[in-house]
Amino acid sequence: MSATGHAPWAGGPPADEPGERGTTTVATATTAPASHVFGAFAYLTARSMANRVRLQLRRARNPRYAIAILLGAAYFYFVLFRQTRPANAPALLFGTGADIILSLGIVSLVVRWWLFGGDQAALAFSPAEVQFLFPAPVTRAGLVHFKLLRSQLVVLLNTIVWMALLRRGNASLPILLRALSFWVLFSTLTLHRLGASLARSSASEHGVAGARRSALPMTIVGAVALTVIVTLVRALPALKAALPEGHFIAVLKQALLQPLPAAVLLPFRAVLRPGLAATVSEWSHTFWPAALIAVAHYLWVVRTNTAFEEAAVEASARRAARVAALRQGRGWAAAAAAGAPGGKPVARSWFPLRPTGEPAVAILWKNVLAVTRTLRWATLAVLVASVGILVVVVSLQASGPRAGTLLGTIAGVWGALTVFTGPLWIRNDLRQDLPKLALLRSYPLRGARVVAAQVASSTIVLTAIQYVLMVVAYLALMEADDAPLTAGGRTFALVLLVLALPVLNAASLTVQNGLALLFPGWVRIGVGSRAGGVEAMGQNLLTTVFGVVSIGVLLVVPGATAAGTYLALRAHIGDSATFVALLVCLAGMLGEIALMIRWLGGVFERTDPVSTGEM
Amino acid sequence: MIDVSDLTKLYGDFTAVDGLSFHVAPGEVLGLVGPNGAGKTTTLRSVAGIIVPTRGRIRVAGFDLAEHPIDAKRALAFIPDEPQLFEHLTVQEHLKFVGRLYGVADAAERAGPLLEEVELWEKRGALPGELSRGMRQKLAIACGLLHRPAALLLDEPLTGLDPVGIRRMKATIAARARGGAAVILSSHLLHLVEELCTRLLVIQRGRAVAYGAIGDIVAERPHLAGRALEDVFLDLTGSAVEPR
Repeated sequence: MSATGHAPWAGGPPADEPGERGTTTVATATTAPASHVFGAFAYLTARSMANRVRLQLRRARNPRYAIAILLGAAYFYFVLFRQTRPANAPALLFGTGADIILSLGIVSLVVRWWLFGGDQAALAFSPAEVQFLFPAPVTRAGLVHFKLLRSQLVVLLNTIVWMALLRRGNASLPILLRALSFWVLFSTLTLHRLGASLARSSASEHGVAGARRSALPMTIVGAVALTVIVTLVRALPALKAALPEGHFIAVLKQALLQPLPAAVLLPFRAVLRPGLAATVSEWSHTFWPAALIAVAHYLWVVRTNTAFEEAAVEASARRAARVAALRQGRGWAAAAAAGAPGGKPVARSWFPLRPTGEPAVAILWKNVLAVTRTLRWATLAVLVASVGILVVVVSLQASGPRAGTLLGTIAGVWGALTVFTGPLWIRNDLRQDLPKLALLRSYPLRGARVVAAQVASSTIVLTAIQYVLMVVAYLALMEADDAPLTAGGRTFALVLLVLALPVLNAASLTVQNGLALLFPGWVRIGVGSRAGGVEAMGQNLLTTVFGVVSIGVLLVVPGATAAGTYLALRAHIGDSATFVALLVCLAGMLGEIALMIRWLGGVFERTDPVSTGEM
Repeated sequence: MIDVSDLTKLYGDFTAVDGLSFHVAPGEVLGLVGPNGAGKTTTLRSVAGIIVPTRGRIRVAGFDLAEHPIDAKRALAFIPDEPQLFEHLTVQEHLKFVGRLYGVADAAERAGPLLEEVELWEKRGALPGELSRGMRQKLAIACGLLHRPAALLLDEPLTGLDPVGIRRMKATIAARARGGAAVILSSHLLHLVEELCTRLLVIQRGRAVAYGAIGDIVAERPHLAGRALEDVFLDLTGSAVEPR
């Protein structure tokens, strides 16, 4: 024990450390030896991980976190170790040439990293890392190594998960060799992602010179993508014909094994092949090319460090802004604001707000405005263009469906999906604002009005998206003679959906907001409160199940009333009874929503900011 | 204007605030000081209606906070130590937003001079992500002042401000008090407290250890006569340390 009665910290400074015992000396600034740097990085990584586990275990004393952890653990156990699918399913991957198919997945990842970017996470350091590591006597290569060391945690976790998933592959390859292969594969992918981020950052930082340096890899990646797309488009008729006969994979393989695509896909297959090898002999032939590619990637990344510091600081600043924004419930706009040097032009406020009137409208205004300012127009444009290309390409095939039918079907299916997934995606409500509960509570507003405005915010956005999709589907199917439902039926369905969707969305979003308010520990209300791994999986399961069950319960009374109405009126007014029954059901749901919002308003007024993790 | 009696806040077994009672009259600036974890922020948040006290009564501008929270909140402004802003609203839009919340009919007319006062006029179109820490603090202050609050609760209001900003902010606080606002100022900057506050509430472990005009507090403790407020504070909180 020290003189002050405190235990000295483990592995503390040596006795001759400058600055000990009250002496103040100025150390000569030199670059730390690599072993010291690695030791510090390893210590930081190991302790951070251990403390995170310790924190999660401590949180498990709270029942709501304990339940989430147990559920998450059960999920992983059943998925990884209690698989009910046939034991030979993974065997389809081993020694069967599946690498040519799987290489398409890697190509899509690489294309995304190079052409579309959006992967600044590969470079980002936490604010604490920036504060401690960047001014420290550590070389840029040292910082790159730190990133690589950190990424190994994810690589090793991925390797373990895939080994568990593929353990019943009936292959004779020893498990350690397969694990080594998957480690090489994931390490290569991680290195490539980091390298691509560096190159893209360099291009944006260094203008023409940077663009010139990145031109070659971008051209190569573009050429690979083009080759694969052209190959697949040409093979579409054959693939379509093979689908009902169960030869789809064989035909796809055949198409990809033509000389040009085969040559283009060779390096992508090379990193996959040792992991898919069935025998030691096959593995020994395929491992070394994969290892060489990994080593080449390592050298490439370590040498491509010219833009690292600037790019990493920028990426870190963006991440810090994003984290801070989410922790404080400021939404996703922080990244946009922090990401643009000098500031991006701010989208105009298109939704006028008068200074007087219902105060809660201000919250609605704020939340809807946030969506328009955080919408990624480029992503949306890519999405629309992709659908457009798909529709054109498929409709050009002689035996393919008509463009209108395809477009209408895509929009309709997409719209239907948003009924279930939309309330989880669209979060411009209390789930975003809850970390700022103290601020919301200081406003002169009743809790019920705050909750209503928050629910209305995401309901409006989600419903608007669905309306657009429904109208696109309706118009696209207008002239289609091969579309489901008659023209009259489609019009009737459109009217029903126009009436029902806002109510259904409001009900789902009220439940989601209620979950956030009642169980903030179970809902993602900001990065700071977001647990990782097992606990997060358990939380997602809980909220999803709870949300679905709640909607089911909410539908019971209105549904039963609507059914009774339909049965009572059918004999008198015919098919119009359906419409009346729907109105009765919607009115019942609106009543339930109003009651829920009133109750949640009371909860809002009683909730202590401490329970949401704000204080 | 602000009446607090027997304010108590428990978190499980932990007592954050324990039976605090105080009064702040219009035009008065009460300095709320105490060591870290003494319960200052909990007290301010309770008075602001953000957290519900376990026990006690709070009245703001004549309205009981428990019975008439909306009327009470409409009369007060709480400016936290960490500015809470909406990242997707510009500086000017923040004022528009707050104006609607508090029903400030002349918000548009008041916004300009207020932004000039806190030196943010040039930044009126900027998002909070483009503002420095001090500018964000100034924006939070401007938002708090827009509706002419009768009660002003300030938690470390000078954090992040530059010297000019500090001087302007001190003038702003003093002007609001002269205008009739009741101000509670929580700060560790004792020279600021000494300069602006008419009375002092020193709390430790949630309990009041001294309450009154600084002169009266010192008069009750003759051994502190002639000592700086820092010494008074250290003596009151029992935190005096010998220089090493």
